[in-house]
Amino acid sequence: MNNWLQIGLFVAIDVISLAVVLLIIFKTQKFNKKRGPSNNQLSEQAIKENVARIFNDTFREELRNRGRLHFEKIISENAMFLQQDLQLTTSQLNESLKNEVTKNLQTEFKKYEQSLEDARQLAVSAIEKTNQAIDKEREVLSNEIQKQIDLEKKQILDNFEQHLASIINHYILMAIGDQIDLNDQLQFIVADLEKNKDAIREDVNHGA
Amino acid sequence: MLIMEPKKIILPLSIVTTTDVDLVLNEINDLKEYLVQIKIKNSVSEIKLPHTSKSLDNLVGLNHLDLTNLDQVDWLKKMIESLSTKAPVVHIGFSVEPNLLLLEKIVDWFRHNIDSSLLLTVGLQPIIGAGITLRTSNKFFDLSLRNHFNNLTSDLVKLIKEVD
Repeated sequence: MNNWLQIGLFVAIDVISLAVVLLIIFKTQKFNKKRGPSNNQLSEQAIKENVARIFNDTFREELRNRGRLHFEKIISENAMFLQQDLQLTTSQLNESLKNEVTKNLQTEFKKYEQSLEDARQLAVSAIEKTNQAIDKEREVLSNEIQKQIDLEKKQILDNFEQHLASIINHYILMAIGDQIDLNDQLQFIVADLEKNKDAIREDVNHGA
Repeated sequence: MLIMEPKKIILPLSIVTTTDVDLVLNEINDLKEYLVQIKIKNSVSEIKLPHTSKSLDNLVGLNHLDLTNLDQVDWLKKMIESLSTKAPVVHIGFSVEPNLLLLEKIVDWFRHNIDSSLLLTVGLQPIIGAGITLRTSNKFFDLSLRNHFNNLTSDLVKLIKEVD
């Protein structure tokens, strides 16, 4: 801000200097007009001569050099200020841009994280539901299999019990079948016949 | 003709099955035919009988018959024919082929306890293990070891469960 103030100050000084010169010229012409045509012509002539004498080429060149130097100085200073301002502005802009980008990125990242979290929750929920369904199905299947196994086991046991006598008889025959003599069995046969004597007699005598 | 005709024929233990009865009946028929021929010739005072089976000999001996007497032979034939068609028959199944002595003891029991003219038919049933199966005209008696185990099934199952 100080650079711009200085530039404005120099420009104002130049404008005031030019205005003073122009005011002197204007007053001189007015004064000459009031003195009459002959005097005016003289005055104008004198002024011109004075001006020409004061603002000769050397003075003009000096003024021009001074102005050029001053202007170069001002331009240089302003360029420096401008460069500093530009650097500052660039820095601020970078910082601002960085902050803005960071803020936007953070916002986007938060949204992305939230989306990921939602998706994760959804996936977890779906997996939990699937696991629950699988567990339930597995339990049902396990119960069904267990029921089938129990049923089959019961059928096998029933079948075994039903044919137990034949199985034992078979194994006894395999083991000692050759050693069982009918003569040895006679007393048991007769005993069994005695037990069933009445029924046999009844059927033989009255059955036919 | 004064013959002490037994009212009912006594069967010897050697005649056990219906086959034995049929064999004896065939033998009696042959004997009768032989006696008829002798009678027709009427020339021999002393009749020499042909050789007869042990079963027929026992039958004749038990019933005090004279085989040279045609009337008695006729009577015997009628009785045996009657037995062949009317005698009660019981089928017995053994696990192995029974010997004659065993059959005689069993038939003796039947004739003393059930009917004196009872006959047997014998069959083989190896799966019964031991004992016999008995089939009368209307009933079946399973007196085998297999049936004995069948009756003990609940006890056997209980014993097996106790072992488990």
